[in-house]
Amino acid sequence: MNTVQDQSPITPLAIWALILGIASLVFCCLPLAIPAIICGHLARSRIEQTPAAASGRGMAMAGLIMGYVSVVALILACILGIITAMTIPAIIKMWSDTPRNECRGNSGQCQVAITNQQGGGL
Amino acid sequence: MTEGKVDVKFGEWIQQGWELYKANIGVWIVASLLAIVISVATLGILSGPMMAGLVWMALVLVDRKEPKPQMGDVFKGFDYFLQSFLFFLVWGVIMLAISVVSLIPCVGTLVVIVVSIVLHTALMFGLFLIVDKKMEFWPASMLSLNVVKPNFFPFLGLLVVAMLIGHVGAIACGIGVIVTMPIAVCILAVAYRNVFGVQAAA
Repeated sequence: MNTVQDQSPITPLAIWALILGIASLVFCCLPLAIPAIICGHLARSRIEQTPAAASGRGMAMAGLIMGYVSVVALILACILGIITAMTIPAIIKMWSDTPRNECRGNSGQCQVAITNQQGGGL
Repeated sequence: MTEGKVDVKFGEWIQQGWELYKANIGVWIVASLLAIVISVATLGILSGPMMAGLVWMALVLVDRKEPKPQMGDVFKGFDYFLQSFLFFLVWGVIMLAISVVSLIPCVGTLVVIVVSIVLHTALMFGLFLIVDKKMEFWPASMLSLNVVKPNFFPFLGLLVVAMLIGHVGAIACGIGVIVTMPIAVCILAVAYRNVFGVQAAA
């Protein structure tokens, strides 16, 4: 039985795709994710063209997946950031307006009470 | 391939696994460090291929093949990237879905623990089959389940012992797992080779 695969050398593009993919996830960096995706695609096409001369399909696919995961994660982080940036000022404004509104409400109630008192006195 | 009753030889397999580990301790520690660091750094995406790399190394040692595996051979797991990735992804998602049950008070956590142990035992040879017989992840999972089913409790005992040994390093702030995890892989590799036998050379 032979568990060891005798293979052609791993294409450097596949190794680069893997390294850049890992780095893009670790550093959450778009400029690393895009090269990882490009290297992954190039490595895969090179392996498909010359399967006898180049291997590393798994590494290329790993680089591709991590590159895409990084891009999606960064897009989601951007959307979340924009939503947060839009909602937080409104929430702060609402909180800061709350005591003022309460004060206005209380003043109104006092005014009504005074009016009623004066009306009753007469 | 064995799908009937199997004689689980605890002492013998653990002894052989330990010998395999002891003879190549330096290679195992570095390979395990690489596997754990890369798995954690990639949020678990590369856990499958990195574990497949460790399994590949253990099987080469069990089969006494030359040349002996080197620390860089942990990256051989990428030859089985898709199937090992899917194996971890699919079963991970299933476990995550099951863990929702833990929200049920009292019984929920207990149910999740029991199901988790049963699943781990049933799938204990899944990754070995993917690496050794180059099977796809689902048939490998089902074959592992079929072999473990008639011998569930002996295999459960073996897995518990292997996992206890493998995770005892976690006591040292988790760092010790780097040293002890390969012991569990070696024990399970010896068990796998005894249960499934040696495949005829292609």
